[in-house]
Amino acid sequence: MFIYATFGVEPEKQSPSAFISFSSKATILGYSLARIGEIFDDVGEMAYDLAMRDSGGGPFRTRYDAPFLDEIFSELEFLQAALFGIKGFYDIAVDSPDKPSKLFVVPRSDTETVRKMLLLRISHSDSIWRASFARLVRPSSQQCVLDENGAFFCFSKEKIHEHFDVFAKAWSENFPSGPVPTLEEYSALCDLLKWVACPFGFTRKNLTKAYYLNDFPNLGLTENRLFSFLDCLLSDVKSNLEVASHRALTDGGSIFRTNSKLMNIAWGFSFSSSRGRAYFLPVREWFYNKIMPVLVKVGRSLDVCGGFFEEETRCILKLLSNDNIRLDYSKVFGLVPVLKRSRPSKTKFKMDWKILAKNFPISIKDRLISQIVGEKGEIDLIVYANFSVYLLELKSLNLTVNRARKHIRELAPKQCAKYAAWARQKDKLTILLKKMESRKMM
Amino acid sequence: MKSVRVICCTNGVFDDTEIVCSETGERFALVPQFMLFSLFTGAVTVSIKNVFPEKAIGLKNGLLTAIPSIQTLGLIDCRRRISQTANAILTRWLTLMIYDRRRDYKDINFKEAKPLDLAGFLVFKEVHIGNTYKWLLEKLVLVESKEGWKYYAGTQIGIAGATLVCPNCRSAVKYYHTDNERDRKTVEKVFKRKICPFCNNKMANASEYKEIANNMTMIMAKYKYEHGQLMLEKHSD
Repeated sequence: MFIYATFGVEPEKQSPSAFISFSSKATILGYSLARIGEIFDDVGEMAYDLAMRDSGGGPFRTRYDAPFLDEIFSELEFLQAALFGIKGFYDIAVDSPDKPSKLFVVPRSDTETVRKMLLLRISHSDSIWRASFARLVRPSSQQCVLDENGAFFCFSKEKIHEHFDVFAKAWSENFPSGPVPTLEEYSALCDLLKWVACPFGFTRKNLTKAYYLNDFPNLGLTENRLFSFLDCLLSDVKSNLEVASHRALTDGGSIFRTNSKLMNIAWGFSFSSSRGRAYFLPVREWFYNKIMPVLVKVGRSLDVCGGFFEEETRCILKLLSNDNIRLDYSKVFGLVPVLKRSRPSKTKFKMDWKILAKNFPISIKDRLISQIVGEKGEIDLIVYANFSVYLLELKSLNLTVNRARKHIRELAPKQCAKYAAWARQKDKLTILLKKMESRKMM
Repeated sequence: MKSVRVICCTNGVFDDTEIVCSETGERFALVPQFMLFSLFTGAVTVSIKNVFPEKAIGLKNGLLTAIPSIQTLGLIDCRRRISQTANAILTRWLTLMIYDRRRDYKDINFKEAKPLDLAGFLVFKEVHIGNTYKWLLEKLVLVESKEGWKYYAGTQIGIAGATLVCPNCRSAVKYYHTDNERDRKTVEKVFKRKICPFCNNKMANASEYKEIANNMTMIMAKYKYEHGQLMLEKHSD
């Protein structure tokens, strides 16, 4: 269990720089498991034997030793590289199409392809920022969710309690073969499974091997009910083989989405055998990650993404003005302010940011423009930073792909044009700024 | 106030870097949240040496296995070309981010934002030291205290400058040169007088205090990197 060997059962507690490699290692683990499940018929029996042992997994690991894993790693690497080719990042040139002796990979450098490459880098930086930010300041009362497109949003945990029917519907859609928990059961599962980890596996006969799992009666759960949930949450690796098929890995889908599917196996999995199922939980917080698609559906159904994004932006702005938190410059893309607590520097620089207004109502005088973009509107956020005033249109991406595209490509530009038209009305902006100045906000 | 900027901020990375209003034709930058905060600090450093996805290199083993006839396998080095294109995209993106929307949009000139030969490194900086636009600072800014010495900035931070040292009050002040003639003459006057602004004693050239001069260079480079300055410029120092 190289995830366990590298990170322990609490990878989120590693330093941000160490945590960066977690996703790639989990992806490799997911792919390896699926391929092992595909190649070896008796893997279920082996896994059961391992899970029944008191600890460790020596014999299991020596059988499938380094050369085999190296091959699997090369295979995944090749498929991922091929996916980049399918995405159009490079072309291949050969001296003969039938029997080439020379083959050259030619990276494409047209504007659209380079833009995609840059966006990949920026996405990577974004995920580091998210990991670092969540580590520092995320209130425990919030449910934070990463959707299938890699966009992040939060909403209050209370929302699930208030709209449990929506949650139950989303659960049944995501786990159609399993039972749907009641509100009490869901709360109990959250409390119990948050802590449970078992890198070397357990079965129903030795469930005490999984840390804390034995506490289930104290939380009002029965063993049968608990395992019916575990069976649907930790599906058999063999039932997920299509995830790691060459076709699935190179179907032209998003790289993030492909990797997420593989990572999802690695968070927690099971193998079926003639004697029962063996469950493996390499890291904690697997429950939260397994039910993330359910939480995404809940967030979307309740349409909470936008509001919480606006709230979050205001919260971060306020937070970053705090002297105790400084910005660092990531090595990954170079422009990423990675949040971290650090000793106050002698060249300490206080962020001079001020939120001047939120949901600020505006009206456009110019009839010509107002006929096009609308007469009235509302600026989501007005911020004063670094000698400039920022009029911000905040748009959450946590919608279905089509809705997100419509919002970003059709609605947002119109809003921005409205803000710009308002900014050109000198008197309006001057009045606002004078008002702020008199309140000593600038 | 320097400018009024209009930005569409998103909570993740979308497929586009800019959006266009179909009615007015005006373009706006689409900026992920973390990048917006970076912009607020005034220091957006973009390293784009290796934009090409490194994972594509993983093709090698698979290709050699799948096509045994291959004797030569190569990756054409297009990094410079990719880097130039990436610079152009980033420059355009950043220009849209900082464009003063009080101006008429048709004034925007993307020709100014053509690809620059930056050796794969862009520095985009916007912080003004001393909270002023004036080159010579009215009040010296203490940048760091180190081993009993105080290191001050006397001007905005430029490309090259010189340090004056006062051994009496153990202060060192760095003044940067500028192309602006009026400011340049003012800085020259300061160098001619060489009077310590704190104790009125005669100041010495940094050549007599090499260690202090070296410290000053490092301190200012660090400050510059962390807090930036005003414009898109060649990263040559």
